[in-house]
Amino acid sequence: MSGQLALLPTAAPKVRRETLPLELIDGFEDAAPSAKLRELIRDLGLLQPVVVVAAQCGRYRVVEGRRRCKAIAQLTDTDEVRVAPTVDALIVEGRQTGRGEVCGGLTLALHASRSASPASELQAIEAILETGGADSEPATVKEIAAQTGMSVQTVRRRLRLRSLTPALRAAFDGGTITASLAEAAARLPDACQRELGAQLEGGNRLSVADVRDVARNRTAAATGELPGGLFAEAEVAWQVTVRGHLTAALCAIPVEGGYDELGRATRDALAQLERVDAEDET
Amino acid sequence: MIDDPGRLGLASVGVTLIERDGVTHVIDIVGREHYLTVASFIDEARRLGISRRAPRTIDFGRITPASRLLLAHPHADIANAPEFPCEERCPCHVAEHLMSGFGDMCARLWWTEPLEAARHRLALFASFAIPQIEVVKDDTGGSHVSTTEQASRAGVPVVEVER
Repeated sequence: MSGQLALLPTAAPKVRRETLPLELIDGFEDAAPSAKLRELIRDLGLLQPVVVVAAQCGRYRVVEGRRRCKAIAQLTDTDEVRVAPTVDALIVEGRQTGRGEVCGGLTLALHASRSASPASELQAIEAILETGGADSEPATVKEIAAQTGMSVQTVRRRLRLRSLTPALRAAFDGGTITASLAEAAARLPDACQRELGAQLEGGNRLSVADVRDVARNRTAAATGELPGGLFAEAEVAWQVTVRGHLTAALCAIPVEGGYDELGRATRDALAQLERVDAEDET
Repeated sequence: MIDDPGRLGLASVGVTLIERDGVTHVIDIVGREHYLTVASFIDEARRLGISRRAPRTIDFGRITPASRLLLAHPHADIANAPEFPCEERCPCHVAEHLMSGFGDMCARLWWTEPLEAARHRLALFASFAIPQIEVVKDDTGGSHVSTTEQASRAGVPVVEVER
Protein backbone atom coordinates (compact mmCIF):
# COMPACT_ATOMS: atom_id res chain seq x y z
CA MET A 1 0.00 0.00 0.00
CA SER A 2 1.48 3.34 -1.01
CA GLY A 3 -0.17 5.90 1.25
CA GLN A 4 -2.32 6.79 4.21
CA LEU A 5 -5.72 5.99 2.74
CA ALA A 6 -6.42 2.25 2.79
CA LEU A 7 -9.00 1.47 0.13
CA LEU A 8 -8.72 -2.26 0.22
CA PRO A 9 -8.79 -4.60 3.23
CA THR A 10 -5.34 -5.24 4.64
CA ALA A 11 -6.01 -8.98 4.76
CA ALA A 12 -8.02 -11.22 2.46
CA PRO A 13 -11.62 -10.88 3.68
CA LYS A 14 -13.86 -13.85 4.40
CA VAL A 15 -16.42 -14.49 1.72
CA ARG A 16 -19.58 -16.52 2.14
CA ARG A 17 -22.40 -17.14 -0.27
CA GLU A 18 -25.99 -16.59 0.76
CA THR A 19 -29.38 -15.82 -0.72
CA LEU A 20 -30.44 -12.41 0.55
CA PRO A 21 -33.79 -10.65 0.40
CA LEU A 22 -33.39 -7.75 -2.02
CA GLU A 23 -35.02 -5.41 0.48
CA LEU A 24 -31.98 -5.79 2.76
CA ILE A 25 -29.57 -4.51 0.11
CA ASP A 26 -28.82 -0.81 -0.43
CA GLY A 27 -26.83 1.08 -3.03
CA PHE A 28 -28.46 0.14 -6.33
CA GLU A 29 -31.31 2.68 -6.40
CA ASP A 30 -29.87 4.77 -9.27
CA ALA A 31 -28.69 1.84 -11.38
CA ALA A 32 -30.03 1.55 -14.90
CA PRO A 33 -30.11 -2.03 -16.19
CA SER A 34 -30.63 -2.56 -19.89
CA ALA A 35 -33.72 -4.24 -21.28
CA LYS A 36 -31.46 -7.09 -22.39
CA LEU A 37 -30.23 -7.70 -18.84
CA ARG A 38 -33.82 -7.72 -17.52
CA GLU A 39 -34.77 -10.16 -20.27
CA LEU A 40 -31.87 -12.49 -19.41
CA ILE A 41 -32.65 -12.48 -15.70
CA ARG A 42 -36.35 -13.00 -16.39
CA ASP A 43 -35.60 -16.02 -18.60
CA LEU A 44 -32.58 -17.52 -16.88
CA GLY A 45 -32.56 -16.14 -13.36
CA LEU A 46 -29.48 -14.64 -11.73
CA LEU A 47 -26.52 -16.61 -13.08
CA GLN A 48 -23.78 -14.79 -11.21
CA PRO A 49 -23.98 -13.71 -7.57
CA VAL A 50 -23.71 -10.04 -6.71
CA VAL A 51 -21.07 -8.88 -4.23
CA VAL A 52 -22.11 -7.10 -1.03
CA VAL A 53 -20.58 -6.04 2.26
CA ALA A 54 -22.37 -6.15 5.59
CA ALA A 55 -23.63 -2.73 6.71
CA GLN A 56 -25.37 -1.73 9.92
CA CYS A 57 -28.61 -3.11 11.35
CA GLY A 58 -28.48 -6.34 9.42
CA ARG A 59 -28.42 -4.61 6.06
CA TYR A 60 -25.97 -5.00 3.17
CA ARG A 61 -24.39 -2.59 0.70
CA VAL A 62 -23.84 -3.67 -2.89
CA VAL A 63 -20.25 -3.61 -4.08
CA GLU A 64 -20.81 -5.12 -7.48
CA GLY A 65 -24.08 -5.99 -9.18
CA ARG A 66 -26.04 -2.75 -8.92
CA ARG A 67 -27.69 -3.25 -12.30
CA ARG A 68 -28.55 -6.88 -11.59
CA CYS A 69 -30.16 -5.94 -8.25
CA LYS A 70 -32.10 -3.15 -9.90
CA ALA A 71 -33.19 -5.42 -12.76
CA ILE A 72 -34.61 -7.94 -10.28
CA ALA A 73 -36.35 -5.13 -8.38
CA GLN A 74 -37.87 -3.82 -11.62
CA LEU A 75 -38.97 -7.30 -12.72
CA THR A 76 -40.56 -7.86 -9.32
CA ASP A 77 -42.37 -4.52 -9.55
CA THR A 78 -43.81 -5.48 -12.92
CA ASP A 79 -44.55 -9.08 -11.92
CA GLU A 80 -42.42 -10.31 -14.78
CA VAL A 81 -40.29 -12.52 -12.62
CA ARG A 82 -41.35 -15.79 -11.16
CA VAL A 83 -38.61 -15.88 -8.57
CA ALA A 84 -38.92 -14.25 -5.16
CA PRO A 85 -37.18 -10.86 -4.80
CA THR A 86 -34.00 -12.38 -3.48
CA VAL A 87 -30.49 -12.42 -4.83
CA ASP A 88 -27.67 -14.83 -4.64
CA ALA A 89 -24.88 -12.84 -3.02
CA LEU A 90 -21.24 -13.16 -2.07
CA ILE A 91 -20.95 -11.44 1.29
CA VAL A 92 -17.52 -9.95 1.89
CA GLU A 93 -16.87 -9.88 5.61
CA GLY A 94 -14.19 -8.20 7.62
CA ARG A 95 -13.62 -5.42 10.12
CA GLN A 96 -12.71 -2.89 7.43
CA THR A 97 -15.39 -3.63 4.87
CA GLY A 98 -17.95 -1.51 6.70
CA ARG A 99 -15.96 1.63 5.88
CA GLY A 100 -17.24 3.65 2.93
CA GLU A 101 -13.84 4.06 1.32
CA VAL A 102 -13.11 0.32 1.51
CA CYS A 103 -16.50 -0.45 -0.01
CA GLY A 104 -15.68 2.04 -2.82
CA GLY A 105 -12.21 0.55 -3.25
CA LEU A 106 -13.63 -2.96 -3.59
CA THR A 107 -16.09 -1.74 -6.20
CA LEU A 108 -13.34 -0.12 -8.26
CA ALA A 109 -11.04 -3.12 -7.92
CA LEU A 110 -13.80 -5.42 -9.16
CA HIS A 111 -14.63 -3.03 -12.01
CA ALA A 112 -10.99 -2.96 -13.08
CA SER A 113 -11.23 -6.65 -13.84
CA ARG A 114 -14.17 -6.32 -16.23
CA SER A 115 -15.86 -3.82 -18.54
CA ALA A 116 -16.44 -0.38 -17.09
CA SER A 117 -19.61 0.81 -15.41
CA PRO A 118 -18.91 4.56 -15.32
CA ALA A 119 -21.85 5.59 -13.12
CA SER A 120 -21.03 3.01 -10.52
CA GLU A 121 -17.37 3.97 -10.66
CA LEU A 122 -18.12 7.65 -10.14
CA GLN A 123 -20.28 6.89 -7.10
CA ALA A 124 -17.55 4.69 -5.64
CA ILE A 125 -14.88 7.35 -6.22
CA GLU A 126 -17.07 10.02 -4.63
CA ALA A 127 -17.60 7.79 -1.60
CA ILE A 128 -13.84 7.42 -1.22
CA LEU A 129 -13.22 11.15 -1.66
CA GLU A 130 -15.75 11.94 1.06
CA THR A 131 -13.47 10.07 3.41
CA GLY A 132 -10.29 11.68 2.11
CA GLY A 133 -11.54 15.29 2.15
CA ALA A 134 -11.31 17.89 -0.61
CA ASP A 135 -7.81 19.10 0.35
CA SER A 136 -6.24 15.74 -0.25
CA GLU A 137 -8.12 14.97 -3.45
CA PRO A 138 -5.09 14.76 -5.79
CA ALA A 139 -3.34 12.37 -3.40
CA THR A 140 -6.50 10.32 -2.96
CA VAL A 141 -6.91 10.02 -6.73
CA LYS A 142 -3.41 8.58 -6.94
CA GLU A 143 -4.20 6.19 -4.10
CA ILE A 144 -7.34 5.02 -5.86
CA ALA A 145 -5.32 4.30 -8.99
CA ALA A 146 -2.53 2.57 -7.08
CA GLN A 147 -4.83 0.36 -5.05
CA THR A 148 -7.63 -0.49 -7.45
CA GLY A 149 -5.92 -0.80 -10.83
CA MET A 150 -7.88 2.04 -12.43
CA SER A 151 -5.69 4.54 -14.25
CA VAL A 152 -5.33 8.05 -12.78
CA GLN A 153 -6.60 9.38 -16.10
CA THR A 154 -9.81 7.33 -15.85
CA VAL A 155 -10.38 8.42 -12.25
CA ARG A 156 -9.98 12.06 -13.30
CA ARG A 157 -12.28 11.57 -16.27
CA ARG A 158 -14.94 10.19 -13.98
CA LEU A 159 -14.43 13.05 -11.53
CA ARG A 160 -14.94 15.64 -14.23
CA LEU A 161 -18.52 14.40 -14.35
CA ARG A 162 -19.08 16.08 -11.00
CA SER A 163 -19.53 19.34 -12.92
CA LEU A 164 -22.69 18.00 -14.53
CA THR A 165 -25.87 19.85 -13.62
CA PRO A 166 -28.25 17.84 -11.40
CA ALA A 167 -30.51 16.94 -14.34
CA LEU A 168 -27.66 15.61 -16.48
CA ARG A 169 -26.06 13.88 -13.51
CA ALA A 170 -29.33 12.10 -12.79
CA ALA A 171 -29.56 11.12 -16.46
CA PHE A 172 -26.00 9.76 -16.33
CA ASP A 173 -26.58 7.87 -13.06
CA GLY A 174 -29.79 6.49 -14.49
CA GLY A 175 -28.16 5.40 -17.72
CA THR A 176 -30.19 7.77 -19.93
CA ILE A 177 -27.02 9.34 -21.30
CA THR A 178 -23.74 7.60 -22.08
CA ALA A 179 -20.44 8.30 -20.38
CA SER A 180 -18.93 9.88 -23.52
CA LEU A 181 -21.91 12.20 -23.88
CA ALA A 182 -21.76 13.07 -20.18
CA GLU A 183 -18.03 13.83 -20.48
CA ALA A 184 -18.65 16.15 -23.42
CA ALA A 185 -21.53 17.87 -21.61
CA ALA A 186 -19.50 18.27 -18.41
CA ARG A 187 -17.09 20.52 -20.28
CA LEU A 188 -19.89 22.98 -21.00
CA PRO A 189 -21.00 25.74 -18.62
CA ASP A 190 -24.18 25.34 -16.60
CA ALA A 191 -26.32 27.39 -18.98
CA CYS A 192 -25.51 25.07 -21.90
CA GLN A 193 -26.02 21.99 -19.75
CA ARG A 194 -29.42 23.29 -18.68
CA GLU A 195 -30.28 23.63 -22.37
CA LEU A 196 -29.39 19.96 -22.86
CA GLY A 197 -31.29 19.02 -19.70
CA ALA A 198 -34.37 20.77 -21.06
CA GLN A 199 -34.12 18.67 -24.23
CA LEU A 200 -34.06 15.53 -22.10
CA GLU A 201 -37.02 16.67 -20.04
CA GLY A 202 -38.88 17.31 -23.28
CA GLY A 203 -38.63 13.59 -23.94
CA ASN A 204 -35.91 13.89 -26.58
CA ARG A 205 -32.92 11.60 -26.69
CA LEU A 206 -29.56 13.32 -26.46
CA SER A 207 -26.66 12.49 -28.70
CA VAL A 208 -23.03 13.58 -28.71
CA ALA A 209 -23.92 15.60 -31.83
CA ASP A 210 -26.46 17.56 -29.75
CA VAL A 211 -23.74 18.42 -27.25
CA ARG A 212 -21.44 19.45 -30.10
CA ASP A 213 -24.17 21.70 -31.52
CA VAL A 214 -24.64 23.46 -28.20
CA ALA A 215 -20.87 23.91 -27.84
CA ARG A 216 -20.60 25.17 -31.43
CA ASN A 217 -23.37 27.74 -30.91
CA ARG A 218 -21.66 28.92 -27.76
CA THR A 219 -18.33 29.33 -29.57
CA ALA A 220 -20.04 31.12 -32.46
CA ALA A 221 -21.60 33.60 -30.03
CA ALA A 222 -18.23 34.21 -28.35
CA THR A 223 -16.49 34.63 -31.71
CA GLY A 224 -19.11 37.13 -32.81
CA GLU A 225 -18.29 39.29 -29.78
CA LEU A 226 -14.61 39.68 -30.74
CA PRO A 227 -13.65 43.10 -32.19
CA GLY A 228 -14.13 43.12 -35.94
CA GLY A 229 -10.76 44.82 -36.48
CA LEU A 230 -8.99 41.60 -35.60
CA PHE A 231 -10.22 39.93 -38.74
CA ALA A 232 -9.02 42.41 -41.34
CA GLU A 233 -5.73 43.94 -42.37
CA ALA A 234 -5.67 47.20 -40.45
CA GLU A 235 -4.16 50.33 -41.93
CA VAL A 236 -0.97 50.95 -40.01
CA ALA A 237 0.42 54.45 -39.43
CA TRP A 238 3.83 54.86 -41.07
CA GLN A 239 5.30 55.83 -37.68
CA VAL A 240 4.36 52.40 -36.32
CA THR A 241 6.20 50.62 -39.13
CA VAL A 242 9.30 52.81 -38.87
CA ARG A 243 9.39 52.55 -35.09
CA GLY A 244 9.11 48.76 -35.35
CA HIS A 245 11.98 48.50 -37.82
CA LEU A 246 14.21 50.88 -35.87
CA THR A 247 13.52 49.09 -32.59
CA ALA A 248 14.28 45.74 -34.20
CA ALA A 249 17.49 47.19 -35.69
CA LEU A 250 18.56 48.49 -32.32
CA CYS A 251 18.04 45.03 -30.78
CA ALA A 252 19.98 43.40 -33.61
CA ILE A 253 23.08 45.59 -33.45
CA PRO A 254 25.77 43.75 -31.46
CA VAL A 255 26.69 45.42 -28.18
CA GLU A 256 30.37 44.64 -28.71
CA GLY A 257 32.41 44.87 -31.88
CA GLY A 258 32.69 48.59 -32.48
CA TYR A 259 29.18 49.32 -33.71
CA ASP A 260 28.59 52.14 -31.22
CA GLU A 261 28.20 54.70 -33.97
CA LEU A 262 25.53 52.61 -35.68
CA GLY A 263 23.69 52.15 -32.38
CA ARG A 264 23.82 55.88 -31.69
CA ALA A 265 22.50 56.70 -35.14
CA THR A 266 19.61 54.30 -34.71
CA ARG A 267 18.75 55.72 -31.30
CA ASP A 268 18.91 59.23 -32.78
CA ALA A 269 16.58 58.16 -35.55
CA LEU A 270 14.13 56.81 -32.98
CA ALA A 271 14.34 60.06 -31.00
CA GLN A 272 13.76 62.05 -34.16
CA LEU A 273 10.75 59.91 -34.96
CA GLU A 274 9.33 60.71 -31.52
CA ARG A 275 9.85 64.45 -32.15
CA VAL A 276 8.27 64.36 -35.62
CA ASP A 277 5.42 62.33 -34.25
CA ALA A 278 4.78 64.79 -31.41
CA GLU A 279 4.96 67.76 -33.81
CA ASP A 280 2.53 66.14 -36.23
CA GLU A 281 0.13 65.62 -33.39
CA THR A 282 0.21 69.27 -32.31
CA MET B 1 -9.90 40.60 -23.07
CA ILE B 2 -11.01 36.95 -23.08
CA ASP B 3 -12.99 36.48 -19.88
CA ASP B 4 -13.91 32.88 -20.62
CA PRO B 5 -11.41 31.01 -22.83
CA GLY B 6 -13.66 27.96 -22.75
CA ARG B 7 -16.40 29.86 -24.58
CA LEU B 8 -14.06 30.29 -27.54
CA GLY B 9 -13.04 26.66 -27.21
CA LEU B 10 -9.48 27.68 -26.27
CA ALA B 11 -7.25 25.11 -24.64
CA SER B 12 -4.30 26.12 -22.46
CA VAL B 13 -1.96 24.77 -25.10
CA GLY B 14 -2.14 24.47 -28.86
CA VAL B 15 -4.06 26.28 -31.52
CA THR B 16 -7.82 26.57 -31.85
CA LEU B 17 -9.77 27.13 -35.03
CA ILE B 18 -12.70 29.53 -34.83
CA GLU B 19 -15.11 30.60 -37.49
CA ARG B 20 -16.47 34.06 -38.09
CA ASP B 21 -18.59 35.15 -41.03
CA GLY B 22 -17.79 31.93 -42.83
CA VAL B 23 -14.02 32.35 -42.55
CA THR B 24 -11.86 30.17 -40.30
CA HIS B 25 -9.24 31.83 -38.15
CA VAL B 26 -6.52 30.43 -35.90
CA ILE B 27 -6.19 31.45 -32.25
CA ASP B 28 -2.98 30.61 -30.43
CA ILE B 29 -2.13 31.37 -26.83
CA VAL B 30 1.47 32.54 -26.39
CA GLY B 31 2.62 30.94 -23.16
CA ARG B 32 4.44 32.83 -20.42
CA GLU B 33 6.93 30.01 -20.04
CA HIS B 34 8.60 31.17 -23.26
CA TYR B 35 7.48 34.80 -23.41
CA LEU B 36 7.12 36.27 -19.95
CA THR B 37 5.66 39.48 -21.35
CA VAL B 38 3.89 40.54 -24.53
CA ALA B 39 6.78 42.93 -25.20
CA SER B 40 9.29 40.07 -25.24
CA PHE B 41 7.25 38.33 -27.93
CA ILE B 42 6.83 41.45 -30.04
CA ASP B 43 10.50 42.41 -29.78
CA GLU B 44 11.46 38.95 -31.03
CA ALA B 45 8.81 39.05 -33.74
CA ARG B 46 10.20 42.35 -35.03
CA ARG B 47 13.60 40.74 -35.48
CA LEU B 48 12.73 37.23 -36.55
CA GLY B 49 9.15 37.33 -37.77
CA ILE B 50 6.40 35.05 -36.52
CA SER B 51 6.03 31.33 -36.81
CA ARG B 52 3.66 29.27 -34.69
CA ARG B 53 3.48 25.51 -34.33
CA ALA B 54 0.29 23.74 -35.28
CA PRO B 55 -0.43 20.04 -34.90
CA ARG B 56 -0.70 18.02 -38.09
CA THR B 57 -4.19 17.01 -37.00
CA ILE B 58 -5.85 20.40 -37.49
CA ASP B 59 -8.25 20.72 -40.37
CA PHE B 60 -5.96 22.51 -42.82
CA GLY B 61 -8.72 22.58 -45.41
CA ARG B 62 -10.41 25.35 -43.42
CA ILE B 63 -7.43 27.71 -43.75
CA THR B 64 -7.88 30.21 -46.57
CA PRO B 65 -6.09 33.40 -47.68
CA ALA B 66 -8.68 35.31 -45.62
CA SER B 67 -7.76 33.43 -42.43
CA ARG B 68 -5.99 35.33 -39.68
CA LEU B 69 -3.65 34.19 -36.93
CA LEU B 70 -4.85 35.74 -33.65
CA LEU B 71 -2.43 35.67 -30.75
CA ALA B 72 -3.40 35.81 -27.10
CA HIS B 73 -1.18 36.23 -24.04
CA PRO B 74 -2.08 35.81 -20.36
CA HIS B 75 -0.69 39.31 -19.63
CA ALA B 76 -1.99 41.15 -22.69
CA ASP B 77 -4.62 43.05 -20.73
CA ILE B 78 -4.27 44.84 -17.41
CA ALA B 79 -7.57 45.26 -15.60
CA ASN B 80 -6.24 48.08 -13.42
CA ALA B 81 -4.27 49.86 -16.16
CA PRO B 82 -5.20 53.39 -14.93
CA GLU B 83 -3.12 52.68 -11.83
CA PHE B 84 0.02 52.67 -13.99
CA PRO B 85 0.49 56.11 -15.59
CA CYS B 86 2.86 56.01 -18.55
CA GLU B 87 4.47 58.81 -20.53
CA GLU B 88 5.23 56.67 -23.59
CA ARG B 89 3.21 57.19 -26.73
CA CYS B 90 0.86 54.48 -27.96
CA PRO B 91 3.09 52.32 -30.19
CA CYS B 92 0.11 51.41 -32.35
CA HIS B 93 -0.98 55.01 -32.94
CA VAL B 94 -4.53 54.33 -31.79
CA ALA B 95 -6.12 57.77 -32.02
CA GLU B 96 -7.92 57.49 -28.70
CA HIS B 97 -4.72 56.41 -26.94
CA LEU B 98 -2.79 59.41 -28.29
CA MET B 99 -5.19 61.87 -26.71
CA SER B 100 -3.88 63.75 -23.71
CA GLY B 101 -4.93 62.22 -20.39
CA PHE B 102 -5.70 58.76 -21.77
CA GLY B 103 -4.89 56.27 -19.02
CA ASP B 104 -6.65 53.04 -19.88
CA MET B 105 -5.10 49.85 -21.25
CA CYS B 106 -2.67 50.52 -24.06
CA ALA B 107 0.11 48.51 -25.68
CA ARG B 108 2.65 50.99 -24.31
CA LEU B 109 2.25 49.34 -20.89
CA TRP B 110 3.66 46.08 -22.26
CA TRP B 111 7.11 47.63 -22.35
CA THR B 112 6.87 48.80 -18.74
CA GLU B 113 6.42 45.29 -17.33
CA PRO B 114 6.85 43.88 -14.79
CA LEU B 115 4.20 46.00 -13.12
CA GLU B 116 3.76 45.08 -9.52
CA ALA B 117 0.12 44.62 -8.48
CA ALA B 118 -1.06 44.62 -12.09
CA ARG B 119 -4.16 42.49 -12.56
CA HIS B 120 -3.35 40.70 -15.79
CA ARG B 121 -5.96 39.09 -17.98
CA LEU B 122 -5.73 36.85 -21.00
CA ALA B 123 -6.39 38.87 -24.15
CA LEU B 124 -5.81 38.86 -27.88
CA PHE B 125 -2.94 41.20 -28.69
CA ALA B 126 -2.11 40.71 -32.36
CA SER B 127 -3.63 39.63 -35.64
CA PHE B 128 -1.65 38.51 -38.65
CA ALA B 129 -2.35 37.22 -42.13
CA ILE B 130 -1.29 33.62 -42.76
CA PRO B 131 0.91 33.88 -45.88
CA GLN B 132 2.07 30.26 -45.86
CA ILE B 133 2.26 27.01 -43.94
CA GLU B 134 5.68 25.54 -43.33
CA VAL B 135 6.23 21.84 -42.84
CA VAL B 136 9.46 20.86 -41.11
CA LYS B 137 11.28 18.15 -43.05
CA ASP B 138 11.89 14.84 -41.34
CA ASP B 139 14.93 13.66 -43.27
CA THR B 140 15.24 10.38 -41.39
CA GLY B 141 11.65 9.21 -40.90
CA GLY B 142 10.04 11.04 -43.80
CA SER B 143 6.96 11.79 -41.69
CA HIS B 144 6.71 15.24 -43.26
CA VAL B 145 5.39 13.76 -46.49
CA SER B 146 1.98 12.93 -45.08
CA THR B 147 1.93 16.21 -43.15
CA THR B 148 2.61 18.14 -46.34
CA GLU B 149 -0.19 16.25 -48.00
CA GLN B 150 -2.54 17.19 -45.15
CA ALA B 151 -1.40 20.83 -45.15
CA SER B 152 -1.85 21.05 -48.92
CA ARG B 153 -5.58 21.10 -48.35
CA ALA B 154 -5.17 24.66 -47.06
CA GLY B 155 -5.85 27.53 -49.39
CA VAL B 156 -2.41 29.04 -48.76
CA PRO B 157 1.00 27.93 -50.06
CA VAL B 158 2.75 25.08 -48.25
CA VAL B 159 6.53 24.94 -48.18
CA GLU B 160 8.89 22.39 -46.72
CA VAL B 161 11.66 23.78 -44.55
CA GLU B 162 14.77 22.29 -42.96
CA ARG B 163 14.68 21.73 -39.21
